[in-house]
Amino acid sequence: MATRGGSVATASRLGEQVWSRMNKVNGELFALTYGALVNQLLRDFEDVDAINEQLEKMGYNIGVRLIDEFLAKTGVSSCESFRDTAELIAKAGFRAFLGVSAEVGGWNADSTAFSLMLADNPLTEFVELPPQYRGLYYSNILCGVIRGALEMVQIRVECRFVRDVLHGDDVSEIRVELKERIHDEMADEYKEG
Amino acid sequence: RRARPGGDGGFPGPAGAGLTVGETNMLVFMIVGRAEPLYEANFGASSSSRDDSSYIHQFVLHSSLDMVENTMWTTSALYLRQVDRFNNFLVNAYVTAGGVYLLLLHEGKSDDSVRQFFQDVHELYVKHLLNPFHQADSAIVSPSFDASVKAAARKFLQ
Repeated sequence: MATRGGSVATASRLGEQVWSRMNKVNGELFALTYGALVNQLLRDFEDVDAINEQLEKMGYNIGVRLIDEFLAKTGVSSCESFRDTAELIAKAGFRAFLGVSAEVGGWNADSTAFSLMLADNPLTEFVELPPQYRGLYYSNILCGVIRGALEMVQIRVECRFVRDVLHGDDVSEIRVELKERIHDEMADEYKEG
Repeated sequence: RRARPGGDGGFPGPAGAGLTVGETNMLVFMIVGRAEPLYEANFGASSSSRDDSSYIHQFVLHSSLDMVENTMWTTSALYLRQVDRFNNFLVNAYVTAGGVYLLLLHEGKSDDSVRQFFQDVHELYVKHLLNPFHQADSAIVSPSFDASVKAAARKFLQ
């Protein structure tokens, strides 16, 4: 059943439906696995900026594949505006795959940038950042996922964390900025691959 | 506070409220891992006049490790109650499933309150172990763990 990505309510409902039908994994196992991953990256790279970049790249690889599953499970066709896209990511996407909803806010004047506010993040279940890794964006993989997924639907964005619960803020905030709508033909994309 | 008969000879006590001279309020908690201590906290009224006797708590706790090891095989419980005694210092112990010792050096806290304290700290310790940034069997430096342990001590041991 194809539906338009519409209001917040539609997106929330979609998210709930998909979440209830998905195979679930133990939350603690998920958090611990991700923690082990970040730990290993720390040992391999040691430089916090390099790790942030790696996490984002890994997220990108996840995102380009995840979008297919998302579209298949929700049956959503195209969004009417970037605002709809944002709501769909926050309410349906996050809910379907992480089990938590995000809030959309912080729209700029021409609706090309918004913020996703995450109150609780299943990745950071037991985590406490030691002071020497202060610049690490522990959940940076999420930024990559968003970027990868949107790129597959012809939207190029830049995502970054501006606030993080692990750094002491009360919510985690991801800033998503629209860079361009990709309009090139298929041939170009294959060349770049 | 009831006065204890004959304190430790030559042990200067803090002249704090309610304590008579010669009396101390020794209360030291230590987490001992496989190879070395992982965490130490002093809850007692530490006095600045503890010079040469300021490390006595480390000696006593160290020497009690043998007793802990002996006692832990006699019971299947995690809480070992009092395992050792040095003059008027008592050492209570609690062994976690992973073989980590929680030791408390005190001068007369009730068994029950010490048990509750140990159980609380055990929970805090397990939660801390789940932090991906904590290497197994390494020293615990997290300030929030420190704060929570001190809060538990205030709740059960004071």
